Amino acid sequence: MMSRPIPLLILGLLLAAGAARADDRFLPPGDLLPGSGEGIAVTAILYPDLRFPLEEGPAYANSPTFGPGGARGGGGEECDAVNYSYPWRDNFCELRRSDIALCVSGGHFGQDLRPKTCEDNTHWAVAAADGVIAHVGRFSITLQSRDGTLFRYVHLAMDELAVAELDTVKAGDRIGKVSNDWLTWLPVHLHFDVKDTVRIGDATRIVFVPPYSSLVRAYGRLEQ
Amino acid sequence: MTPHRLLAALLALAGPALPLPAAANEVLSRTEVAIDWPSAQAEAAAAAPQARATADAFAQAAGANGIRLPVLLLPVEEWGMPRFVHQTQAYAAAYRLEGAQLSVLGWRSAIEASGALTLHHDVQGYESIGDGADYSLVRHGASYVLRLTCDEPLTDPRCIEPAFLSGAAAALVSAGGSEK
Repeated sequence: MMSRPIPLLILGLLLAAGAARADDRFLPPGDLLPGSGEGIAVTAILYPDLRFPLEEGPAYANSPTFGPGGARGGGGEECDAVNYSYPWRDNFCELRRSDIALCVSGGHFGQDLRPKTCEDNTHWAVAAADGVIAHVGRFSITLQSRDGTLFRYVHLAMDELAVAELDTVKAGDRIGKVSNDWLTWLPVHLHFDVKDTVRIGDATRIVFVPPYSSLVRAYGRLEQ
Repeated sequence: MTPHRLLAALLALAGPALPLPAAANEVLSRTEVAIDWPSAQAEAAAAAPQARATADAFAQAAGANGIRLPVLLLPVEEWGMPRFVHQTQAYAAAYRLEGAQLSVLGWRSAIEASGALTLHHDVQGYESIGDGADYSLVRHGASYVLRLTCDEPLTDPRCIEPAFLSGAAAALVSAGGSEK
């Protein structure tokens, strides 16, 4: 009786093992670089339909601050191969001057993403959802989805944006090129953060939420 | 090797390579929140002349038809009429200031996050965001963020001290929106 289900189960396990090996590219949520703060292990997907915010892969989620070439990275160069290699690493809650609501200790609002190479003003950031370009600042733009979610893109080449304030966009539309636009030198990267309303028990709060697990899922779709 | 031992061996091989069990990840749901329309309408009816002037100007300039949440804006006499766009369940109003940018952003949905997220710190209305600051509030059930950015975010007092943005949040007036 067991002879037929067992081979099928073995086949399924082998396929699952193969898929699991593919996931070696992604460290789990909350696993911050040692010494860079305490992450939160949120495996829940908040944005199942998220469009990965870079037009093309490969891309690398990691810390431009604590990685090689970063201000607190202990030396090295921003173009170091380590920064452009798997595995991905969460950096929501990474140490900053103040704490934010969902972090045990730490204040990095979002996830930093490096595009395929360290070339400045080359790789496109794209709309993560259908919506409206709701805010254009000197160093950032904010996309408001149809549901209201605020997706913020920081360090784009702001003088050459593909969108203007209050433009309507579709998921995947080009927004701007990844750069290091800021007051002081930074490695080329996209800072991507998400602010939304969450209900936790009886509390309704508007907070920066962890995007890492949703980004992993969106990246998987990008590669298909 | 028996089939069961083979299975155990396969699981042991697969186990260490499962840092992110994506298939097991829970997808959180998003729900449309209920708006307390009687409260919103009572507030609008009791509004000061300044608020009524803003509502009238907004109705002429943009119109609130089809916006299914209370539209909060800054008083038109002091701040002028913003550029405005809405998406039925959300809206954005953009104000251009000298050396700064201010948007009032509203929406009416929430993610059900109990069990998935934990609040570790008090959520303040005012929050620095690096290149500026946010002021967030929930009113009549809807969510609002005033997002302020500055050309010189590390030195412009509007972006490094709460007074300016908190004052703007306190000045918000009802300018439209309807249940239907």
